[in-house]
Amino acid sequence: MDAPSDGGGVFARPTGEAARQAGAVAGLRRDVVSYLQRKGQSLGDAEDAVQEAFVRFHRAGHDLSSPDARPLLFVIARNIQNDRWKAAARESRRLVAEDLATLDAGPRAIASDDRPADDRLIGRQNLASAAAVIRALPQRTREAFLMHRFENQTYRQIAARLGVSVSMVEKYIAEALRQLKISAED
Amino acid sequence: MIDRLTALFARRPETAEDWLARMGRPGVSPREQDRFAAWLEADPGNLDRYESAKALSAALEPLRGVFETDLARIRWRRREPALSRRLLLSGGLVAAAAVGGALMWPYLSAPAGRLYESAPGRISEVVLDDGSRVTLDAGSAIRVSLDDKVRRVTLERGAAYFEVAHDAGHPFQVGLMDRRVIVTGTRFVTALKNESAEVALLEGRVVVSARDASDARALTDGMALAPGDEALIRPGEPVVRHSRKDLDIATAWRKRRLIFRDVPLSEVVAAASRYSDRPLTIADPRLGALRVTAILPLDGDQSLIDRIDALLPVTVERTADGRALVRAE
Repeated sequence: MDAPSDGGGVFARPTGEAARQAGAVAGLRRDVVSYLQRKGQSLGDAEDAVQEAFVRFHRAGHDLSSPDARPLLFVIARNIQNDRWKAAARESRRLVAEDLATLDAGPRAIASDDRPADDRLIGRQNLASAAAVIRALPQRTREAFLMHRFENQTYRQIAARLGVSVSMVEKYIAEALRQLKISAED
Repeated sequence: MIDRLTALFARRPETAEDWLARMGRPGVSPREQDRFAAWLEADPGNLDRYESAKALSAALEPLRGVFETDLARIRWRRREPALSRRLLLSGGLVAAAAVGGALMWPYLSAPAGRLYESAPGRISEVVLDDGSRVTLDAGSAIRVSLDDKVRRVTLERGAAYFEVAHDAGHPFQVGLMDRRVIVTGTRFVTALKNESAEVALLEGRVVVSARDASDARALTDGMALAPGDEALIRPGEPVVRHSRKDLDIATAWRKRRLIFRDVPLSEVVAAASRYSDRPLTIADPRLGALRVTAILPLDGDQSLIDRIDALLPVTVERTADGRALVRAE
């Protein structure tokens, strides 16, 4: 993510799309660091937490180019920060009981668990039942979801194909995800 | 302005699934991202719920192939004019490339479209762009052109079994010598023999016509088949229809076996040659008239030649020039 060293010469600099993306990521990183600093973290600790947040972000299978990337990174970084505060508190044992209680009841008490992605993969049998759930969806819901999931069509493209609004496509996708979740929980 | 109004009236996402669907929208605004972050912070479990929903969707990846037919059907139905023109162009290119090939049935219109071929000895499955499924018998070929009001397939060689995706707006037609089999959604099998062709219907309804499906009279002039019917086609002659109780025989190759019930050995040898890596020849013409009944599996370790040798009252000799000679036992 760092800018190329001066010794690299002009050709070593990232160009075009790569440069734009690298720039966007560097900007996002700076934003999260200064957010943590505003929450009372030192610059070094904040950079450390953000580094870990990026690692966790990628391990969870997220994508930096997706619109959810920014909110997710902020929340993940803050979880990590809170966790570290608590760990430090437990270690030093200098905090009194009510201080601990205050921390636990804070806006973000516990970081979400960090299971490896494999744990969340679904087995062959569940895949079959997921396929059955998709087949059982109402026609438009099913078609919108299939185009979204397997053809990477944008909501706008799907809306044009199905002759519905973009909001309707969003509802179809949400409904399909909801049905899949219900079946996965059984 | 309209976007702002929509945002006002759109239901605020409540669940992880709602939010995942919202984040897939084009141009998510910073305000929407803030709302999403607020939702993530509102409950310690929300981040995990969101990531679980995302992981569940990601885990569907192996199903891509399962829904290939459905997607093809959607693509077909929602075809846009520009796309259709492009398909037509590519069809033209394919036709130009095929000019050197021999035209087996010159009375059919010039071949256009994509050629699907199965290798000798190999039965292959094909999913067409409209979602129809075709099983090609060994050593068979079909030419497919879907870029028109009529979905056109021509059986150029061998035999093909069809499961036609239902689409009343686009009749499906299989050219067979000088006839067309016209359907709107059904299962049937077609086969080219030396001098004739056969159509056997398993389900639905087809019409065998001398006219193209784009001709309004094609359906009224042609001969309709009911499930269980088989039509025998000879160029220039009227189509003969009869009902067949043993349709399993006509379609047995689909299940990777050949079934013969009281037929001359010459017919068995002709059929077996299509699946064998070396051509079979009957040494003595009189032997060809011998009537046999047999079920020959097409898969497994044993070669078809060994099976004929073992199951029929003949011996098969492999010659040095790569043929297989069938002799009386």
